[in-house]
Amino acid sequence: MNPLRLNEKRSSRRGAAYFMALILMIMMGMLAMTMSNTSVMDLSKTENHQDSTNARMSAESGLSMSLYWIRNLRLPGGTTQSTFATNMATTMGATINYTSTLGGESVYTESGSAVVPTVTLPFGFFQSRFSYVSADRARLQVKGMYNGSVSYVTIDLLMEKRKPMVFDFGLASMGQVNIQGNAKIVGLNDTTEGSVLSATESHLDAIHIDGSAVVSGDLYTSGENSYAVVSGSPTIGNTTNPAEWSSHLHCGVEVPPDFPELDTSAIVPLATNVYTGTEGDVLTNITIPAGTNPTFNHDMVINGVVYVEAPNKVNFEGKATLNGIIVTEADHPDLSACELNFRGNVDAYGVEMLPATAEFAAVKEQTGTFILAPGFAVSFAGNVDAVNGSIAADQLTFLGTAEGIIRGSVIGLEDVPTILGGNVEIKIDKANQDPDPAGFVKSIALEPIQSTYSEGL
Amino acid sequence: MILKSKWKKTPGPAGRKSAFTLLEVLCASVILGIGFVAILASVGSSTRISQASSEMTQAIFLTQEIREWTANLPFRDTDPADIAKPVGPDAYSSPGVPYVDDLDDLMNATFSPPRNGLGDAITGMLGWSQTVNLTWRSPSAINTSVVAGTSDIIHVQVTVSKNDEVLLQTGWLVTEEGGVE
Repeated sequence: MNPLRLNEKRSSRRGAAYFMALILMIMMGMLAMTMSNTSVMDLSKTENHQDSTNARMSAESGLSMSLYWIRNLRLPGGTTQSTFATNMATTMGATINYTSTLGGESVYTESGSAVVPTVTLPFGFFQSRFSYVSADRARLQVKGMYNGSVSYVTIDLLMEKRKPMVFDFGLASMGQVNIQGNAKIVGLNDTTEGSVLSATESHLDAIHIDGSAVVSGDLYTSGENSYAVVSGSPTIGNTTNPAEWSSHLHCGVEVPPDFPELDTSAIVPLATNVYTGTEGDVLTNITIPAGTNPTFNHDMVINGVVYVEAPNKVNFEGKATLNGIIVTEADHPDLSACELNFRGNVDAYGVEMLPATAEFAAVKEQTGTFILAPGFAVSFAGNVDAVNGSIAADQLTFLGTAEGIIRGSVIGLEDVPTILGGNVEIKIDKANQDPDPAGFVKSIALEPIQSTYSEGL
Repeated sequence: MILKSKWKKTPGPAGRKSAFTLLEVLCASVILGIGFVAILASVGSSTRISQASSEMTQAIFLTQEIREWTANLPFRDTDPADIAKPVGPDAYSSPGVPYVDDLDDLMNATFSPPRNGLGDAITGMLGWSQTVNLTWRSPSAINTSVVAGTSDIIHVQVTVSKNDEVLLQTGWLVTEEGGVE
């Protein structure tokens, strides 16, 4: 064989070892890359796990905050599927809109839901959504977010009709409250029953306590920066020690209690007799027509429902005994033309005092309410002795020597001053208050149903 | 040194069988060596990553245990003897370890060995610790701290460490009357 050819052959085999080594190195490299990729994927999975944990914590935080926001929230009693989102956004927004928590934004409605805009937390974000499910159920869904991970938690809310929260107070007014002289508002069974709330937005000095006034319970104001002014030697929170008053004063409560909507439609039709002034000394289920302006200046008894149309100035100046409930027409704009004045000796008792006769059968079902006077100013200036249910009017004034046990609350419906003076003594009896006082529309509370809690969409 | 090749059986010019040269073998060895080094480096790196990953998973688990614990604790102390006391631990079950019967007892607490969702010590986790910091938050400015005990909202921050090295830090909000158990 030609040596040259042989060398050519040998040289053609050269590099085979390199080639084999290279193949092996490539295989080993691929093995190394696979191992590395697997590890990196493991790490990535762990990081994702960490992110999803933070997202989950954010969702849980959002759930906790959302339930905190609605713990004292009340929706209007007439809330339906079509009004749910708007009512929810309005009532919840009243306390949290434009706060730093919401980044200066506000609760909005979207596709039939009320949505709380994204809230930033130290370790993530959350967004809450409240949706209508049925007449007695709503749904809260919270979306937690962190670094691209998203987590959802959901819980259903029972929409439960309850008495408005102002019934938790002895005296609650949308206006400024002035308690002067020797006026007293005290709890009959417990000192806390004699509490006072002012929700005025027109006065920062929401409550004035002067002289020797007595408030057995605590004082509450709900307006921002509102406060109480105390002078003289009153009793507040059942103590005369000024050093202890501050612990009985709660200014700017975070969630203002809801004031009641009134619905007199079940009561007004029961006032079947129109007052003409010729009826004599006993009146039964009467309607006092607008503009009558009667003055009852002799001894008389009024049984059942008294419905007062507006405008009207009704004066009780003699000895009047009321066994029943007084309601008024609400739609007159001038409060000075709409008054109920009790100036004589008035004894007032509830519908339970009415005889069990056919004419009072329906009236006796209207329990727990003494006066329901939207659009009217009500003043007690004589000697009033009452054992009756709740009183609600646009404006309330108690002077003279009125003394009564109110099985419920005294409620001022408008932002005008409520005044207690003279020797008035109002004893609040919550133990015997009616759970469903006539004419007051129950509002809707939202209560989480723990068993419906779920994670995920 | 002569290496025989199975597939190169053609004899050489001097009657010797053909084989790889020393240079070829050396070069091949170097190439293979590089491959081995890459594999070894990769194995080492994978081991470290796996360990870190495992530790992170463990840290997440320990965070979730504290989360469970805080969800089950009352927001405020219900023991009449402790109600008037300032926020923070009311008593200690052992030096430095608070006796916990409400949320604020966890303030600035460090648990090593770590605790589970019931507050019991977890055995077999030597070197691990959970540190809990509580800050009270303003309802209107949730990221702003207020004086301890003056708000109904608490931010719980948990730091999980192993041998004093921080592995994970996270947090969540707890509110009074806003919990789901």
